[in-house]
Amino acid sequence: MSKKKDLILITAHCPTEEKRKILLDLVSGLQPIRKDFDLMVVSHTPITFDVQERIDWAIFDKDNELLTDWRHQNQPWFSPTDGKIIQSIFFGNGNTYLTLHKQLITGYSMAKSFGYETIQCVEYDAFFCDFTEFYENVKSLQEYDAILYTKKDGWGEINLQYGIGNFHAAKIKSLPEKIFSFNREKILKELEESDSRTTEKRTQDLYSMNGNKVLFKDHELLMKNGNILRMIDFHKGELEMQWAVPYYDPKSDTVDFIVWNESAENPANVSVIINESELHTFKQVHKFNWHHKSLGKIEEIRSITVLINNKFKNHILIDENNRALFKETNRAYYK
Amino acid sequence: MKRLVIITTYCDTQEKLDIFAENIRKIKKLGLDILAIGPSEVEIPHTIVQECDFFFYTKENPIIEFPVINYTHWFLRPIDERKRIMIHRGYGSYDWASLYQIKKLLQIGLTYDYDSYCNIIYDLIITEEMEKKLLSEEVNIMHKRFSPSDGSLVDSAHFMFLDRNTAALVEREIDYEAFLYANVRAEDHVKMWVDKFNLRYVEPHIRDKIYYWKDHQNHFDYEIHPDFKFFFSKNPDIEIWVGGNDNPRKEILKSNIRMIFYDFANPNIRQNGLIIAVDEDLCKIHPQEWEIVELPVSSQHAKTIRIIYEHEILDITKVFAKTKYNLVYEDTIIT
Repeated sequence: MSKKKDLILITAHCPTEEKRKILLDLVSGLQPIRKDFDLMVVSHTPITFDVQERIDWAIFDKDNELLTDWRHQNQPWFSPTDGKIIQSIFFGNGNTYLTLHKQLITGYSMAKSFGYETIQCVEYDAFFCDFTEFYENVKSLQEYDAILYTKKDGWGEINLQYGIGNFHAAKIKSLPEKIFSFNREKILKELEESDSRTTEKRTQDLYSMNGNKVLFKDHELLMKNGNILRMIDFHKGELEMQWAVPYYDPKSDTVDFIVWNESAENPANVSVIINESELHTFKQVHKFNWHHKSLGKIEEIRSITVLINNKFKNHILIDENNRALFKETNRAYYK
Repeated sequence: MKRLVIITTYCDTQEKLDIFAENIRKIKKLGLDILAIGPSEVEIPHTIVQECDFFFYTKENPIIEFPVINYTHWFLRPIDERKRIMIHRGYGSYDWASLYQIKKLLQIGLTYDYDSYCNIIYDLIITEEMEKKLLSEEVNIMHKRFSPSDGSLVDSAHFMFLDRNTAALVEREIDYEAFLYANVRAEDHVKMWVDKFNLRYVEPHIRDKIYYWKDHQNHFDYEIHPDFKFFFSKNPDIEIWVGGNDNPRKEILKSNIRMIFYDFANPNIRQNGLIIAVDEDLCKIHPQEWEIVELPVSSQHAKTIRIIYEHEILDITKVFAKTKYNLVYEDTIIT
């Protein structure tokens, strides 16, 4: 087999038939450019034979460690009113920082070992009919060391101040040495010490190291002519929405609760059970609406159970050992 | 010490899959992580893949064939006092393919934070004593293997323990040019790095379970029909030595296709004959046992070959295409 110079890395986690079909459609759709690019899939679930037949390298990595320790969580924010910002770690299902970077590290490392010059990283839940960006990126990587796509903030969307994680590219020989090896403890330490615990920030930092030249492009370039990115919203999991979170309000010294329906088309019902005895309900929260309630003094709260449309979301235990950390990682800020 | 067991595989039968699965179970029972590799044309059931921590499929299975390497099994059939038929069956070398799998496994394994690496082959017979070794902290040791053909002890990487630094050195040492230089045998290549890095051979000696050649004893019959045995030639114009030891001389053996039919189970084969179709050309022949049938077609150009016998089409196109080097010729001893 003669290897090409340019590699497309697809990171995947496809535990359902629907997701396996999305991955198969993606690699099937990329067949016209296999004359110029080799394909590699790194997946946390076994890769089906039909996908395997359509790619050059398939790597199964069982380890799919979701970080649930509060110190390792990303803290997205929501601002319901001018001057008030709410940050919470209870937005999603846990942080995929470690597992996503392990997939990328596997890809970078293999690309280097196997002698590729460039790598373009794509998440599996995409579909391409227009391949212009793949070719443009190879050309741009002669001048630049890496390419990131940025997306303008949009109402009701997950907004990010870094290059998006669904698609980015790099020149292998420009990448810093630490990008090629996975050391769990080191990465966790780095995460704990980081202000922003997002996967995308680490990628952007690594791509920019050693004075590397990064080309920032508009995310819209990827979406031309029927291309699709991010078909699956991982953060939602089985739930229709995610912004149903408790937070500490330093003004009142209370734990308050915000429900912001950022994505469910149908009005959402949220139940919050305090100390396994006291029920608070948020009924019929329409899309892009928010409701807010105080749950009580923080010293009096020992547990918070959250259900969205009768589906379990979180069970949070608070005691003297983690109360300060709860206040630090879930709180309101006032400008 | 965190140890990764790396396993080379080629499990194209249920028997081989069962042996591989059994070894995975044994190793996982010891609490060790597994990284396995297999060629992507061989489908491994997901139940087995999921037992591994990592599984790497590659399109590469670099069997080295004629004209680079050719292993020959030969057979001499005396016809009378002066004449004899010489048959050579050529095989490619799997030695580099197996070393290449180890190289790839080390490249991938070294990406992750393991302290030591143990290489095994999927069908290694793992005894209790070897299980203890797997749990030990021993590194930079090798185990000699009993050759399945004659029981002699040979150099082997089939139960090899390396620390991280030595694994990186060995990975770099596994090199195609060096392999060709080292007598083109895996054992010799292994011996080269054993000597270079002062690795120690220790007991126990090891055995593999599958002996590939056990089921391939008759190298000179393609088993296309139970009524007769059949062999064909495929060679470029080539110099051969004929004339026996007393009067050796060189001759040019043309590239024409030559066929041999023998051990007839049906006495009517000669009388009824059979038809040979090479691409668009047909010819009817009435073969005699051990008579060379030479066709006026070069074996280097023929694409499709079919034999029509008793209204049955015996298609040998695929096996002919896969064959790189076979010889069939008559040797006359001049006294």
